[in-house]
Amino acid sequence: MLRFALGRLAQGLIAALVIVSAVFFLARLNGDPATLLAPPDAGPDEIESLRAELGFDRPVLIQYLAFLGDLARGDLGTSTSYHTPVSELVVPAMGQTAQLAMVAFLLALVAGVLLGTLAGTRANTRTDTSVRFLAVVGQSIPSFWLGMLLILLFAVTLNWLPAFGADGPGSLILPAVALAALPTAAIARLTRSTVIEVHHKDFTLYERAKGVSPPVLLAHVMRNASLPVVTLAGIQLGAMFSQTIVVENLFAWPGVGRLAIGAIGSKDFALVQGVVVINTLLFVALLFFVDLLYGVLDPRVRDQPAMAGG
Amino acid sequence: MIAVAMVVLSACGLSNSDSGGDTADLTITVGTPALDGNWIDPMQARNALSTAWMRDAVGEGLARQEVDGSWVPGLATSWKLSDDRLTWTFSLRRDVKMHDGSIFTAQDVKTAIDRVVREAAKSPENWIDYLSHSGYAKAIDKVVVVDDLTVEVTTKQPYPNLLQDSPVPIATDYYNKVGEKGFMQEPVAAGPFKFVSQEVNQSIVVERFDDFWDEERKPNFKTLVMKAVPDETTRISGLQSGQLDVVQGLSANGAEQLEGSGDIRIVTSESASLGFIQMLDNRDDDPSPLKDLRVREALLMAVDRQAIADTLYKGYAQVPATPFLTTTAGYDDSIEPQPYDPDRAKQILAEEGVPDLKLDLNSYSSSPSIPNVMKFVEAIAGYWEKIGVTVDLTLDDNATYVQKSYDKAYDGASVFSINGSFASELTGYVPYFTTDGILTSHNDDRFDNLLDKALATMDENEREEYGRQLNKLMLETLYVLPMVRFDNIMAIGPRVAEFRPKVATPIAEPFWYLKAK
Repeated sequence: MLRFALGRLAQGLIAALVIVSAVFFLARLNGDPATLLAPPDAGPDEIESLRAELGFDRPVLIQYLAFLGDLARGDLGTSTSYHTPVSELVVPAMGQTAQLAMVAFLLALVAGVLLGTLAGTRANTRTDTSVRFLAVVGQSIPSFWLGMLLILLFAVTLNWLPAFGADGPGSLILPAVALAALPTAAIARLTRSTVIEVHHKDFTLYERAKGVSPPVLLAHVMRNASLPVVTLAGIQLGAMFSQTIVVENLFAWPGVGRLAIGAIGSKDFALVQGVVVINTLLFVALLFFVDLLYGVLDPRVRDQPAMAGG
Repeated sequence: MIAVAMVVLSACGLSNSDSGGDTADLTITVGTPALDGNWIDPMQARNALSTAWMRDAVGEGLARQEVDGSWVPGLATSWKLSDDRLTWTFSLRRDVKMHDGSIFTAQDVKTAIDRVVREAAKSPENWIDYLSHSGYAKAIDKVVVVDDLTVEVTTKQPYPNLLQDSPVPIATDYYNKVGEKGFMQEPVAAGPFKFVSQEVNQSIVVERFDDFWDEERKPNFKTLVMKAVPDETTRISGLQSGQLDVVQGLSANGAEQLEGSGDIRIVTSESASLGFIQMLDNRDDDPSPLKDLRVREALLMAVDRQAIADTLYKGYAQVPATPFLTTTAGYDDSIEPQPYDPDRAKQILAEEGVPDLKLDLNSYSSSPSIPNVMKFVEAIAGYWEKIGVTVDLTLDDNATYVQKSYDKAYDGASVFSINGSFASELTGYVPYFTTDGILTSHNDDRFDNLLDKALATMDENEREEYGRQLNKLMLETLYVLPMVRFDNIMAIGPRVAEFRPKVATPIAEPFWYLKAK
């Protein structure tokens, strides 16, 4: 188990390094922020000295090595647009994003599993059809559009909830719902199909023949149906951290998504890199955790680490 | 359901909405696209567009720019310039209180200017904080306190913009106590609002300063909250739901959506920015049809600018005769813009031997100063193609575009803009119109001479005259084709009685004449 865990961790760190390096070089393909930061009436000399002060006049490879050195020490650098250490910006924003993503995730998990089980245990009934219809809608409606509709209905027309911002629990509801729609649908569909599949396995047939009570039967079905759902949920949670970009922008939620969009526009390399580093590590950590959970749920996986999903 | 609504309303800070006639404790919330600058210090606020309003909210300058663009006395009641044009003597206003309760004196002027000169020289660690004062700091020779209400500022060379560029006075004892870093986080000056709090990228909160010296500009509400709401539809929804009272950064489409919606009113101010096209081939000696004035004239008259202003910008834009904003020294509203005449344009191209002109048109794909810039460029390219010009359109992202323009990597014609907050002074035209200007379109020393003279003179009327000549020269040379001048579009909700913002700025400021109902 420990070897499995360490192997996963090493894989994750390598993935993070590759991604961050790619971002480092891609961001520098079309110039640096010196021209954007300089006052509009600055001359070429002033821009050149600004570039030198920011360290962008050095060869890219030297900049890269310096960046890796800083990163190894846990220093994400200084944001050129905010003139503040990147960690001071990214960490609180990540807290806000995590809060939004977790609430949306729990919502998606509970609603998705409930709806999926409901549909799966009543396959081909009217309930099943309704759930499947909802799932198709949930998966195809873009989150920004759903968000706009939610704002129009609950903030403008009914005036029940704030249209935007992060002031109190009320302001969490609309963005969380907008964010949860897609993973809810995905989880519901997968839960439905795995529940149906497990229902047709020999052991369920045997249990049913033995006259096992429906709640106990459901519990057995769910344990066996949970493996793919856990994998999907883990990926959905990870993906949620990137999907928040659109939702955060719409709802003026002060998370990393908004920070990232601003940073890209102003060529704030350090901030872009910081967001990517933290996001990648988080994603890797989530998948790692899902793998561990997988091992707990199904002892067979522990013996074959290479086969573990993720 | 009412109970739920009440709880939610109070949770969002809207509980004051029914305060009736008494506005003294009211909070007014302004929605803005971004708060990405973190300068709340009124001396540094102008480093970023999103915090520029803090200068005139928390700060009060020696002179201030009124909403019509004119400069009037502020904390200085009068000033005079020595014969050698180097020493300015300011007489200061009596009995003015600052936010820490101290009485404003000449020392507070000196503290502020000395601070800028000292801190701006500390490079690289301070360069960005004092970006907007970099030229000023280098120009100052010394500041002498003559008495409590008189101060002398001496510059190394004549510095015509001293009044406009001087930092707002700051509370001396407070600054000395908290130091540079402390002051940057919690500034104390003499403006109509006191700084309360800031959450970077989210909000800035300021509060009425009860002892502000000028009753007319003192807010009649208690708290002003500036909130970053990046998405325009969300800002509009926030205004409609009552979460916001003032919204800035509206597009023409957004404004059209709000027009006639009961208790919401559109507020505009003119000359926020101006989009133009530079005929870049006039920079060097290589042959190009764009060197022919008549070809440039044909390209201008081929574009139906009025149609662009009326349809793409729904009338929240005008057709200018030259690239001057209405507030630029020398602006002349009696000059008629070149009328739209595609047939004549086509004929001119034929006469000049280029009926099948090929032209590179370069632009950014998004611009802070030209709304909907892609449609804008496509419209222009479309009009040119109608008279037989083959247009090769290049669109780059903003950062790349600026960089490549600085590197002179484009040929043909390039889209650019002048932004009211930088260019209502003639200095804003230096990068575009002087031979050595970093974004210049031409090589013509008549512009250099006129701009040099206009920027050097201390006499306002003389500057106005040089500006007029410059304006005329732009009209005659057409190195730059003026396209559309944009309004700054804002909207106010039912709790706002009046809001009069300044002309020639793309943001909503100042908040002197924002009155709650």
